[in-house]
Amino acid sequence: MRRKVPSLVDLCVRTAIDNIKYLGDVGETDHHLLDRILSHCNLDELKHIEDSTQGSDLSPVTDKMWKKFYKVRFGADSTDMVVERMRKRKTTVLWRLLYEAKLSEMEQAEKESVDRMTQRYREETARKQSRQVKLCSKVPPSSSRKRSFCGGVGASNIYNTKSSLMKKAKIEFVNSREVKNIAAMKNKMVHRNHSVSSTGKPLTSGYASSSSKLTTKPYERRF
Amino acid sequence: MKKEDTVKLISAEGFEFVIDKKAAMVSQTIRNMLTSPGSFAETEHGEVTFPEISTTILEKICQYFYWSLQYASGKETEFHIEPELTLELMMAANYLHT
Repeated sequence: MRRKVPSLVDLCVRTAIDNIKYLGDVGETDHHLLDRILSHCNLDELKHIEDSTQGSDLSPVTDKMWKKFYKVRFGADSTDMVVERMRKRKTTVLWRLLYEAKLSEMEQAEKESVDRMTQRYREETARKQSRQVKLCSKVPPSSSRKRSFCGGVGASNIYNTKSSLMKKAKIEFVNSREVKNIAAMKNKMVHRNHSVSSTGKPLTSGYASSSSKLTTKPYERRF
Repeated sequence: MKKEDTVKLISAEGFEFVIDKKAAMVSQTIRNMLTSPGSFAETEHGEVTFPEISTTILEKICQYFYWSLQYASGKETEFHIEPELTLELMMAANYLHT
C-alpha cells in the first residue's frame, strides 16, 4: 500500500510556515495559499509581512487574523462592542486599524497614570524631606556673647577664636604687661581730657627701650 | 533514454530540461498538456515552455518529480526546500498542479 506522496505545494506551505519569521514581501502569492501560511503568524510577523508587501493588498486575507488579535488583546466584550458600532453606522473599518487605534489609546492612558503616580511620589518625598532635621555646614556667629563683655581690650577677641591654640596665645597677649599698660593709659586719657601736664618731660625715650613695639605717644606717665 | 519517453521543459531564460515523461506526468497540468487530444501547440514536439518559471525553480520542480516517483515506490526520504525559493516554488507548483 503506497503512501500518498506529499504535493510540492504542501511541502512549500510547510517550509514557509517553518520559516515564517523570514517572510517579508509575499508579492503576488495566491490568497488561498497565504491564508494557510499566515494563519500561523503571530502579531509581529503578520505586521511585518503586511508592511513589506507594498505591491498588493493583503487585507482580504489578514483582516480576520487582526480581528482575532484584537479579541485576544482587548477581550470579547470590546470586540462585540466594535462590531455592533460598525453595524449601526453601516461602516467597516479594517481590524488592524481598530487594533492600532485601541492600543495607542490604552498606552496614552497608562502613561498618564504613571505620570500622575510619579508626581505624587515626588511630592510626598519632598514633603518628608522638608520635615527632616538638616545639618548645617556653617556655624552662625554668636553675637550675644560679644555684648556681655564691656571691658578689656581684646576680650571679645578671645572668645571669637575657633582654635584653642590661638585662644591661648590671645589670652597671654591680653594679660601681657604691654597691653595692660595701654589699656590703663587709655583709661587715663578719658579721665584727663582737659588737663595738661606741667612736667612735660619726654619720658618716652626710657620707656621705648623696654618695649619697642609700642607706638610712643607724648603723654604723661605716672610711675 | 529514448526520445519518445522524454519531454523537454524550457524555462523563462531558455534553459532546457529533458526529463522522463513519467516524471513530468507528476504534474497534472503537464499530464493534461501531453495526453489530451488536440492539446496545446507547445507540446507538439514534446516540448513545453514556461515563460513565467525561472530556471532555478524549474530545476527544483524537475527534482521534485523524480523524488515523487521514488517516494511512491517506497523510498521515503526528505525533500529539502531552500527557504529563499519557497514562495516562488510554491506558486509554480500551484500553477503546475503538483
